[in-house]
Amino acid sequence: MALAYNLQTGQRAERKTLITVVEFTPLGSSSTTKELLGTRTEDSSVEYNPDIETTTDILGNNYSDMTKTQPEQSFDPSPIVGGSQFQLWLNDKRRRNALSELSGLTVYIITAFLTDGTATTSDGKYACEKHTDCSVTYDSIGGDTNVNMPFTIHFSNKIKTGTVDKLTADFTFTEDSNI
Amino acid sequence: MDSSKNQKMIDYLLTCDDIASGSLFFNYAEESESAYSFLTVADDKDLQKPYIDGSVMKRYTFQFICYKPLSNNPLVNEAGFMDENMQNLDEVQHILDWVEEQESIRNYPDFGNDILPERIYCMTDDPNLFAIDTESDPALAKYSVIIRFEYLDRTKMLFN
Repeated sequence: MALAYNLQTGQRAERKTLITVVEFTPLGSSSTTKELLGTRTEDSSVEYNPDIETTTDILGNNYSDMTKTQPEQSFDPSPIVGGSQFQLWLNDKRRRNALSELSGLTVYIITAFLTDGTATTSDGKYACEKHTDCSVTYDSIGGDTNVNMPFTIHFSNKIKTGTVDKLTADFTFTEDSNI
Repeated sequence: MDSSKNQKMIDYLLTCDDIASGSLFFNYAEESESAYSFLTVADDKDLQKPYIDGSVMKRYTFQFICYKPLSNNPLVNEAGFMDENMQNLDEVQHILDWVEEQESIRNYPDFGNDILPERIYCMTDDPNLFAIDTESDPALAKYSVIIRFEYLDRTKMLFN
């Protein structure tokens, strides 16, 4: 897939154009749903945590190899907000200490500032990375004025690149065909 | 600021019996007994809090002025006697209490589908005596309270 910017020359990509969506099975349901992550979170980044091995040859030249990445994204604060099915799901695991049920999530990273290069944004083809078998950890619960339950998504790196057709929870992910 | 928000806030305030029973003016001061003035206040945009999903926590602030008659009778230590000025202050306090009650039952003005109410509150627990006008007949006390409505604006979100 050829990438192109969904931006004018010189235009900065707004933070809202980097979108993380989790797909999971809500409590009491047998089908999955998708939910946007980051409600009322002011700052959050995908941290790649690379392992870098650097060697130096006899000429003094450095060679650095990135041997692996372990991407994760924390959402803090993440206040408990009525209506969030994902927070309900996560609270269920927390209450039961059901650690083995914190995996198997599909997480999409939609880079809405990128398109597939062959269509205009009016066609709605936004670049996306789909990670399957991701895990989530709840980091704490509490806070001061409102109940805050920050959590961290641990990406699996089982990635399929592709596009999504729209920026709503019922989007369809289409995998790149030439990979 | 979308002017319809002002109208919606006024509609909301007029559900308060104490306000509806008086005369409410918008950005105008009618200095008369039981008159109220709704004065718009501009909030600094730098105080808005943007979130990563494109929503923004905003605030809508206004000043509410209440005009009450003033008595020049001195206070006396007499059982059952309540100073008239204190009674009038209590009437203004009713309005502040009404705002707090609306917050406790989560009854907010309706700013539209993309606006999620956060909270409404008075900036002080008591009315502020703004000014005294002894030239008018009757003499009037002007009480003031700043009221703030915080809400989450979702109109600029990309993913919905």
